[in-house]
Amino acid sequence: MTAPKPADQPSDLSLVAAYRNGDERAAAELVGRHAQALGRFLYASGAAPSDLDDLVQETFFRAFRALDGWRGDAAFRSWLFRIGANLRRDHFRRERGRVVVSLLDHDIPAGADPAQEAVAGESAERLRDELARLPRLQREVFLLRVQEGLDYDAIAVACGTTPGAARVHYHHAVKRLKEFLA
Amino acid sequence: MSDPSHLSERMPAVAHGGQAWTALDQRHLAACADCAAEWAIIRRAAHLGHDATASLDVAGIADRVLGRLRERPAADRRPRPLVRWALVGALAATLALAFVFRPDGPGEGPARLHALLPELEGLDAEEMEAMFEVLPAAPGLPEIGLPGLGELTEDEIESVLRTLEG
Repeated sequence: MTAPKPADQPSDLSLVAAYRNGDERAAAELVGRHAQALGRFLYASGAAPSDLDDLVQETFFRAFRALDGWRGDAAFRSWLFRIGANLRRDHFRRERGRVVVSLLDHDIPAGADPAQEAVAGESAERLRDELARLPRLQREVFLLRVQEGLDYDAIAVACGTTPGAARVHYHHAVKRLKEFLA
Repeated sequence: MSDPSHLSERMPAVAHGGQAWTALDQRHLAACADCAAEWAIIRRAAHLGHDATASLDVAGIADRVLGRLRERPAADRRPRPLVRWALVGALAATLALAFVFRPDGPGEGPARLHALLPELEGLDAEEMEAMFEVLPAAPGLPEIGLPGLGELTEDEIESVLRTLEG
């Protein structure tokens, strides 16, 4: 997975190397490059909007402290997503039982017709609910493919599986979402 | 007529703007309810969370992360000695119990062993791997080579998923 960046921008690999050599600006650049995508991934995985800031921060903190664990075979963003997914799961386990009702639907497009807004917000929430019910690997493969546009080879590396298995997981996720949302 | 499986594979790229539907594709989407339903889900999922993350304070997050890293710069990835020895002790005790109470009759083994290891049920694959990484190899125990999902063929994965999903 590659974050969109101009050709003259340093790669994630070189930013990681720079940070390991003491350049804090390189770490800040990595946060700036990947925070939004990580937040979207966490949100689509079921994280509450009010938790996103903390989860994104914690994911980067853990990632930077464990850079030895990133060998560069998976893209830096994919590796971040795995850490974030683990954190979200642990956070969900701790928070299980607490019912949080969001009063603001962040997926309603501004300025739209109120009736359409309500329908759009409801369908986004339903999609999020159904995504949260998918088996973890299916959900992650689906989101990496649909939100990040990764091909099956890159997803396989990110998720520790094979391209063929990633393809199967993706299509099972689509099938289940269609069954529940159609 | 467009091939539905080909259409399905291209949906993420089209949702991202990297590809576009042809006139033929569009006619198919207009006529096929199943493909139209899938396209609606993919399109929605591709943009899910854009507004929720628009207000993320990215610069603030970077500052806070760096501040915390200055206080705790590097992770010691090795488990603390006390934790390591506690894990080793727990597993040794469990194995000893499993040995003492091993079933005599065939077919009872997995259920009995399962009952003896309730604390392991809560661990996921990564946590199990992390635990086994810190354990010394027990003399006399055979190596167990369990395949991961990534080592299965597509047919095998299909079969596992069918079993799990009913």
